[in-house]
Amino acid sequence: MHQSTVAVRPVSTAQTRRRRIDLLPYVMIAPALLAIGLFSLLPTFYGMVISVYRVEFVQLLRFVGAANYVDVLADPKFWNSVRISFTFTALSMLLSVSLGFGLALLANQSVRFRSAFRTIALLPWVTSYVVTYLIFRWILNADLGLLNAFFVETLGWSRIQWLGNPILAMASLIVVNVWRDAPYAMVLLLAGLQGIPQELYEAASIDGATRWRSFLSVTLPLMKSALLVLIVLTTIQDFNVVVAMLVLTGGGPGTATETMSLRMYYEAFTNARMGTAAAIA
Amino acid sequence: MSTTSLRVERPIERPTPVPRRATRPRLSPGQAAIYAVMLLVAISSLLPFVWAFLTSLKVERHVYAFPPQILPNPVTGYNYLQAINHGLLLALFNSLFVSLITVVLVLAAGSLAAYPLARMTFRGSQLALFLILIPMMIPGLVNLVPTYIIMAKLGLLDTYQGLILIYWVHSLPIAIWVLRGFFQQLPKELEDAASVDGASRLRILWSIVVPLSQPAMAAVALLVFLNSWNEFVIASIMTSSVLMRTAQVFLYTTMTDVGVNWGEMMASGLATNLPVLALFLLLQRRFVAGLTAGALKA
Repeated sequence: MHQSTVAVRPVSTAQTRRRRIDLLPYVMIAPALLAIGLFSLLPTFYGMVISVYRVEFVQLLRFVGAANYVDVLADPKFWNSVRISFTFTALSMLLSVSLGFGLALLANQSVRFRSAFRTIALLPWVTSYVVTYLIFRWILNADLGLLNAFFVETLGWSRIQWLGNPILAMASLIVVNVWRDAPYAMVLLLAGLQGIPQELYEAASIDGATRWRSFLSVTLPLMKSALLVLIVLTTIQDFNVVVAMLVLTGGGPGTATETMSLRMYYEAFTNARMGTAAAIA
Repeated sequence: MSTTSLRVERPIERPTPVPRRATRPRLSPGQAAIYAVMLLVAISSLLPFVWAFLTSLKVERHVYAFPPQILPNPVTGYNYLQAINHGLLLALFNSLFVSLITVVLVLAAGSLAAYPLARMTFRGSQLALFLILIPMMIPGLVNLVPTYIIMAKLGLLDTYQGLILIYWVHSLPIAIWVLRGFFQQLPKELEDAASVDGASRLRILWSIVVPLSQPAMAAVALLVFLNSWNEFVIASIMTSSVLMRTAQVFLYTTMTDVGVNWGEMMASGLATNLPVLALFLLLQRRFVAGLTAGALKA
C-alpha cells in the first residue's frame, strides 16, 4: 500500500510535497482513534501507574513502589482466587467449546427444523448475564427452587444445597456458564463448518474414507483456526466473568467461588482499595 | 477464517440429497438420535425462561409454596406492577437511551474511520489500524479501575455522557473491523464512477458506501445494542444513583437491597430481557451475521 503511493508521487520539492499530503483520511480516523487512545489505551497505562501508588478514594496519595504487588502476592486470598479462576475458566471453556462443537456438527447435518433449532439454542446467549444468573438463582434455590422440587418430590431425595456447598456451587456456576456460552460456540463453529466445500467430503468418500475418517482428515484440520479463535475468545471471556459470582454466589460459600476478577471488583469498589485492585489486574 | 466475510444473506439450508427410493424413507436411528439431542437442547434452553415466566405470574403465596405448582392460578400481573413501582420503567428507559445513542455514535465514527482504512492509501494507515484494534486484545477488566478514576476526575461518574462514552469506545474497534472488511468487498467501480462525476470522498461514503453496506451496518448496530444493553460491570460502577441506573443494575440492586421477592424479580428480569429477545427474534439472521463476523475478528 505504502509503496504504491510512493511510486506514484512525483519527485518534488519539500514545499509541494507538504501541500500534497492528504489530510482527509486523518480527519476521518481522528474521532475514533482519539476516543480509543484516550479512553482505552491510556487507561491501560494509567492502570500500571495506579498499581504502584497508594490510592485513597480516587486520589493517588503516594508512590509505594511494588508494595501493592507484594501485598497482593502475600495474600493467601489472592492465590485462592487464582486457583478458582483457573478452575472455572478451564472447565467452562473446555465444556462450552466441546459441547458447542458437538452441537454444531449436529446442526450441520441435513435435518429439518435446523434454523428453528438455532434460534432457540441462541436465546440464552442473547440474555444478559444478570438475567441468566437471576433466573438460575431462583431455579437452584435450596428451599423453593424448581430443581430441588424435582429431586425431592419426584425422586424422593433430600434437599440439595446447590449454592451452599463449595464444590456444588462451583459446579453450578460452570454449568450455568456453559448453558449460556455453548450456543455461541455452536453458531460460530457452524458458520465455519458451512464454509467447508462439500466437494472435499465427496472426494474423501470416493477415496473410501469412512465418516469418522473424513471428520479427522477434512473437518478437523479446516476447523482448526476457528476452534483456536473460539478457545482464545472464550478463555478471555470466562476469565473476566464477575456477574456470575456476584449474582449467583457472591463468591461464597466462604471464598469458594471468589475468582480473581471478582476479588478485583470487591477490592476496588467494596473495599475501596484501587491500588490493590489495579495490581491484581 | 481470517478474512471477515459478512455472509449476511447466506441461505442456511444446503440442498438435501434426494433419496432415490420412491417411498419416503423412515427416520433412521442416527437421525432419530440427532432429533432427540436437538429437542433436549431446545428444552434446556427454553425451560428456565418458561419457569421464570410462570413464576412471574403467580401470587406471592404460590411463589413461596413448596412443592411449587406448575401453572399460576390465579394469574396475576401484580409482580409486574410492583417492579414498575420500584423503578423498572426508568431503568429500562436509561438502558434504551444509552444503548441507542451508543449505536448511533459507533456507526458514525466507525464508518468514518473504517472507510479510509479500507479504501485510501495514506502514511500510518497500518499503525492507525493497529492502535484501533489493540483494545480487542486487552481484557475489559484491566481497564475497570483506571477508567473509573479517570471518569471521576472528569466529573462524568453517574452521567449518561460518561456511560455512553465508555460503551462507545468499547464497541468502536469491533465495529471498525467489521465495517472495514465489508467496505473492502464492495465493488470499487461505483465509487470510481462517482469520483469521475466529481463527488467528494465524503459524499461517496455517505451516498454510495453507506447505503450499500446496510447489512453490515445492521449487524454492527445489533451487536453493539446487545452488548450495551446487557452490560453490567461498567454500568454498576458508573451509575450509583437511582435515577441513572440501567436495567441490569436495577435488577442487581433490587435483588440485593430489598431482599429477594422472586415473583417480582422474575417479572423484572423478563421485562429487561424482552427488548433484546424481540430484536433477536425479528432480525435473527442479521444477529447471527454480526455475531459471526464479530468473533472472527482475530
